[in-house]
Amino acid sequence: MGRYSGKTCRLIFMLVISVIFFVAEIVAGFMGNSIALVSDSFNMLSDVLSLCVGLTASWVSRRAGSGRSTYGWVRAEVVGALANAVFLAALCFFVSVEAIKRLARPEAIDDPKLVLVVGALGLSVNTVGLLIFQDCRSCWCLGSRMKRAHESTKSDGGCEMNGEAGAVSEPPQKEGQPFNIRGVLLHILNDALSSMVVVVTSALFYVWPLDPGAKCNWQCYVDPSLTLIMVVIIMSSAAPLLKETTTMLLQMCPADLPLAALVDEVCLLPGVLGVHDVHVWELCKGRLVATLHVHCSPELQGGGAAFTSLSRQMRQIFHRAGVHSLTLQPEFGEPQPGKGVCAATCLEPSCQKLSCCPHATRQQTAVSQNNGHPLLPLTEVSVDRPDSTSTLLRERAGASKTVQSTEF
Amino acid sequence: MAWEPKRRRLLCMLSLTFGFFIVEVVVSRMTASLAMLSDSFHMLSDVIALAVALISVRFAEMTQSTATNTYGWIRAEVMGALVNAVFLTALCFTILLEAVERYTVPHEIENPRAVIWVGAAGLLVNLLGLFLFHEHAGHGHSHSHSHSHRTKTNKVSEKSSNTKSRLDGSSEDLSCNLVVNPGSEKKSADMLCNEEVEVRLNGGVHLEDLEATQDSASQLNMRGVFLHVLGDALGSVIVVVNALIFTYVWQSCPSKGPCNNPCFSQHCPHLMPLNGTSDSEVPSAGPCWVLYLDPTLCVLMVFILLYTTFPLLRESALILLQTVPKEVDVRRLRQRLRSLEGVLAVHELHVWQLAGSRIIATAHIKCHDPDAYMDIAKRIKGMFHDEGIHATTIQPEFGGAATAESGDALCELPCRIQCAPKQCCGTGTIIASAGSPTSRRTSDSQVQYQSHTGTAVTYTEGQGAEVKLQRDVESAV
Repeated sequence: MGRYSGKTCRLIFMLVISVIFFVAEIVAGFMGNSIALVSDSFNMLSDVLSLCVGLTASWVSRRAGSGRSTYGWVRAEVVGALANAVFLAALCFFVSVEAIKRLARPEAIDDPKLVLVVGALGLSVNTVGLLIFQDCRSCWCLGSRMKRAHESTKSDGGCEMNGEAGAVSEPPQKEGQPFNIRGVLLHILNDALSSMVVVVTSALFYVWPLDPGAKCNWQCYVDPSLTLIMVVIIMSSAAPLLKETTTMLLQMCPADLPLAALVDEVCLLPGVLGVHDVHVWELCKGRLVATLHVHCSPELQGGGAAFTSLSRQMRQIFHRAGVHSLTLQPEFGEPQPGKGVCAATCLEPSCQKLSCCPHATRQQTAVSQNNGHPLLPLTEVSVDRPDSTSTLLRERAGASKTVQSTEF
Repeated sequence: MAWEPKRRRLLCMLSLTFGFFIVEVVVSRMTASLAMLSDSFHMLSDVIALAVALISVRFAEMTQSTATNTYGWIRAEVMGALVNAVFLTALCFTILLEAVERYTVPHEIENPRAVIWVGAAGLLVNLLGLFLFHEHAGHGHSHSHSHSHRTKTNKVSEKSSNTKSRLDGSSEDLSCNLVVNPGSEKKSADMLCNEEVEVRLNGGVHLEDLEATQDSASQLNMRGVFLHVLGDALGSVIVVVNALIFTYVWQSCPSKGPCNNPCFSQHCPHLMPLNGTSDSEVPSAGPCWVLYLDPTLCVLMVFILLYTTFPLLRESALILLQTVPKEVDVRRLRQRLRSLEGVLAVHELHVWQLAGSRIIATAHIKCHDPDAYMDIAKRIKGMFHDEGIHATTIQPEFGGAATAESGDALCELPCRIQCAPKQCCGTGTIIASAGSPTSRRTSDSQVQYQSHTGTAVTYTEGQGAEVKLQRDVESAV
């Protein structure tokens, strides 16, 4: 689509509207000496901040990679979404603190008419924002996804993030959106709900005004109670986003990837004696990266063509699983029984602690560790199956045990 | 393990802070003081930050690979640091908002003496916290050096005894085979390996420094905690100072009788007494600047906190963004790899930091001679080791004659052509082929896309790839 995809345009548009409304509210608040207006304008300010974070993340993620980042900056959107989600959680915490203080010491609204007007305006601005970032994309993308089903390689900037060719089922609407849009959407939803609470409470006080100096009745408790309910709603909406972004940033294996089955399939290929140090992680939505070490039988050592062919077969297996960036490290020779550790570790034992997956030192346990899993008895050959319950090792039928191991 | 003292300190501080929070809530109910209630919730935000740090430490102890997380959970501490930094920023934001509101409607402190006592007690708790976590104040290097010197002799002897026992346990220890021929005697293997342990450690970096810098991931996490506690300490200082000044400088209006309060009545001059009483008989509320002291100090505190939080935010974000760690120069590494004998080209070189000193690298190396490959691979591993990278995955590629002039050969084993946008480093932008700006493909079996370095790449199914170096490609997008 180009540099200015629909996503950025909408973020900029919403940012402009929010800034205008914020400035108008704060000026009106100071001129009219109304605290309600000033505090509502701060809600708008937090929206503006979250939009800035979203825009910055979007801009950074489009920058080309450099010597500073070999993977490019595509992860910026994930980090931006996490920052927005945590910021929102913090704001919800402080808002609930205020609500609890209000429950402890209830107050009536002083000028319900003004607050009602301001609340209604804020609600309209936020509703516009919700509409902008919502449905249209999935309707539009549905059309292009149908075209994509005929194996076109068209890649629209707008739809690309929304579900790639590998997506089989229609994802739920919110989850299909890019992360930073979801983060911003949550902030706008928060603001919209709080404006709604303001409108409801001020309408109550407008319709049934409280005499000045009279004791607070049930009306005074409506605002804080609704606020607390709103916090619960927002937090439960933010939880999936928090979970997905943390999963990605912690280098976790995607939940829908059948890693054990993949490793099984790879082990069944001819010439593969064992597999270890398998790592699969998600760089950003849809981009999976995998690395693994493969213990190959000595026959493959001779010509490059045999290894290349094995490599291609492995890539096919990973491709079908949706992993398109794969780095395979071959290791030749018979794996030693009971070892199952890498034949090509770094130079010194001390480097183990600084490798990605430190092994336990051998003198501590009789059974050695393999990527953190205890191995079964020594007669079996190890395969690093990243499965915490089973460390079943697999031995190639007919493989000789007397070949010298050749190392890197 | 290094985790235990950290966890103990965090737990200790957590329980102290939570206990104090309860005390403050109770006192605020007894004295009906809203200011104390808000201060108690600042303590609660501290509790949350400490809980986040504790959970991260607990997770990060699980360094073993599992089905869901093949790298273990060690990155949890970096995440904890980022979450705490963002939380602190949000806290600063809300304090700023409260300060602005205080400027428009200044508040008097209701019960300054009680506030002084509780504020002082809170300050004491926070000072204790600062003392517990002060080692993590800076970037952690100073701490690591002092720590390392203290335990220097212990660690070295421990290391060599470890290596010895590993060799004793298994004569074909594979890790030692890297430096020793397979056929050598065990004894000579012992000695050689021990020498290697002492001499060739991380390319000249000493073993002690190696041990010390392992903790830099947890340094980030604890730094986040330290900054929270610092913020709270500053807040307590402001509370105490403000309450003291209120007690001794401010003159409040008496509860009965007329009172001239110039600080509040600026907008409503018609409320001033009109019965002709002279000004000197009507008591005035104390100097107005006292009311603006609290928000001013708060704004100052916010700037200090933001200034100290920003580096933490940046460091943890850079790690999570998979950037190359500062210690490694990727361009120089790439040149050194290419300069190795037998290496035709290097591509898909990626270096990133898992957490702390755990740096991970992957590369595809193009060689023409499969037999010489193992020797090359050993040298490659050595080169990475010298850079401090100990977890590498090197993929050899053989064959493929022509390479681009830059030496950046393309992968002989790419995924299918449609997958280019989904690979780790495709920008996914399909650019027009030369001569036909509107068409998306050059032919049915070819696709052009832009790689992350800005070069245009044409993939032809079954025939490998061909590079057209177009420096101005990016401007076309």
